[in-house]
Amino acid sequence: MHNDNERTYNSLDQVILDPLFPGIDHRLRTGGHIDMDDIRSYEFLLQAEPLLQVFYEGYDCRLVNGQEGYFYLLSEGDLLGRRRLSGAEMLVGQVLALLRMDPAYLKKAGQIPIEQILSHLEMLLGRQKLAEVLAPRTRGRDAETDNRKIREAVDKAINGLARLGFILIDRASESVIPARSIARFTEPVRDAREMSAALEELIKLGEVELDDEEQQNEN
Amino acid sequence: MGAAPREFALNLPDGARICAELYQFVGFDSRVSPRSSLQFKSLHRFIDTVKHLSVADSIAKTWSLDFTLQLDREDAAFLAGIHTWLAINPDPTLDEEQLRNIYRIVSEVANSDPSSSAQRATNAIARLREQRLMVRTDTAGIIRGGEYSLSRMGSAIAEWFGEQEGLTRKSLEIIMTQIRAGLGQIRVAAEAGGDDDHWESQVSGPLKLTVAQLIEGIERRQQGMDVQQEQIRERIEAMLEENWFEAVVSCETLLVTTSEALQELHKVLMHEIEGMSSLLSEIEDLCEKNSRVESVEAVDHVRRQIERIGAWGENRFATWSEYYQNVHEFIRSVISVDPDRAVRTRLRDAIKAYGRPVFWFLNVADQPPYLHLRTDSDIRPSQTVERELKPEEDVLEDAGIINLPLERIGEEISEKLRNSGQVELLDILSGLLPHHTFHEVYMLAGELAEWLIRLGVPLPLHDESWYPLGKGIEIQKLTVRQRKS
Repeated sequence: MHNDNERTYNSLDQVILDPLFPGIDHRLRTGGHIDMDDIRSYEFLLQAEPLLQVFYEGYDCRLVNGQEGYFYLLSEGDLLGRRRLSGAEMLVGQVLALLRMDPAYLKKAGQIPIEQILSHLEMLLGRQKLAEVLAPRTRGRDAETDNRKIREAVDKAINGLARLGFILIDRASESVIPARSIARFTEPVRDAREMSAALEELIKLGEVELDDEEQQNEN
Repeated sequence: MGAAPREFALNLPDGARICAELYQFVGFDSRVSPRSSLQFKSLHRFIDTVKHLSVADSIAKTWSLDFTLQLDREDAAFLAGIHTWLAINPDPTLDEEQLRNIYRIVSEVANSDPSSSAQRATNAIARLREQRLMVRTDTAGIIRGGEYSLSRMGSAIAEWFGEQEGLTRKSLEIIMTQIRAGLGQIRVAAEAGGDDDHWESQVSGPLKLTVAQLIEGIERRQQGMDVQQEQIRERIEAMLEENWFEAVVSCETLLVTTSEALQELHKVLMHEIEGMSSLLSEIEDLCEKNSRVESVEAVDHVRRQIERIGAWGENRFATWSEYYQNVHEFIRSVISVDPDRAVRTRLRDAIKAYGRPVFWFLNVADQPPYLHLRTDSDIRPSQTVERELKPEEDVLEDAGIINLPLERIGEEISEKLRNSGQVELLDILSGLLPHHTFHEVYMLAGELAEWLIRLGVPLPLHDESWYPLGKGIEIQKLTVRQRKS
């Protein structure tokens, strides 16, 4: 069994019998990201990582330790199942990754108001494209309905990202705090390579999937 | 000038005027100390009134004043100029000519048309007066030019525009020494005891005025320090935004310097507060021993102030620590990883070109939920269904037995019971069957059994056999004997 001061695991059964294991295992299997801010869970994963790698290999999964200090599980086979994020989640996630690099949010303890996410989405994509992506419609458009649909899509994406541990939501101030794992959204642009080359490598690692334009609006 | 207008303001009993008094009451300013007994008592009444206000009262009363404040850039500069003039001149008031001279400087700074300067000065003076930022202190009326001074509110705003005086270790120690000395004298006075005047002028008065105002001095400097910290945060943000990686060293220096200053202040504050709290407790004990309610309240007031400055220290120290960690985390995980801001630029470009050359999506694990299969069981779950109990008559009526009222049968059965000492349910129902339908008898059986049990004493069931009653009904025997009276 582990010692609280020097938590070390010599065998997989010690890891599995740790009271922390069921909760963490469930979070990982359902796509959760666990970072250094959740210090107990992160420490557990850090100490048990070699043993858990073996354990999850049995499920065709890989326990990934991101360089900013977070863990997540990638399913590479059919046994456990996996899904890709929705188009709205991808857009909101990328904007949040960008805003996290802005020192303007430092004095607000990293809190980013949801209104700021919306305004940055509009600024970066342009109003028309944003409406096409987040508020797809087959018939005519009107600004009020588009605004409502965009807001709904962004709210849904924020809730989805929060469930996966990419962000924390502060309902009182209608703002979000990006977690370290938000850095996953910068993966294809981390180095100076062509984005397509970076994506190719990420596909091989099972990190990302590509798709054509027709299927990008799923939520 | 003089005490008369202040006394007049203080003695107004109307609570709705309190806020106006607060603004206009120049004598409450720390520059003027109340000397006369009348002034002193008035001040006490004033402080007591303010102390007992609730938030809702305060809002309602201020609302009822219908007071608005509008201060443009020129008026603000004018106000600051007046405040500085009053601070550097021995005369506590200014005349109109002096005000116009100050306004001339404002006009020059603002590059305004000099030909309209006199008219604009007149308007500015009128605006400051209308908004109670400046008060006329003479009683000369309209015959000659008046004398003016800033109201408490005008002074406060002008002070705010001026240098934000922060809290330093030195200023904190000086004020704390004064407070401790004041509290020491108050303790001596409380120990000595005396008449009402003694307690008022030597204990509760100094507590409410001298000590409370000194603590207000700390609070004012704390507010100044809040502004300074906000400015440091903005400076760090601007430095990082402008110079990114090159700004890291200077940002860290700024962070460390501020942290050290805060830590030092926090330490001094906590140490001094501890000492003052014990002094206050001693004074409070003496006040209680002498049943001086007003003095005890004054001690509580000071204690609350001290708790507030202590809480400020705790809170700002914690907030700054959190900010310190956030900045370091930002430097470590964002700036160090992307020292030339290339990732930020590439990510921005990628979002702008969303979908080109291709849409990409992150993968996450997604285990399907477990299926919880129920184990096989032969036992059917029993379920209790509750329904409203209807009166017997209703049940019989519902069953269509309106020609078989229980009262009528009941009378016959009761008579039989009295005569023979006992009755049998099977016999009664068998007797009814030839004259009634099967359904009517069936519906009556249950009701009748219940009624019989209430009427007499049921005998133990020795024979458990089931006896047929017409077609399809079987009942057990139920014998009821007459109750002993």
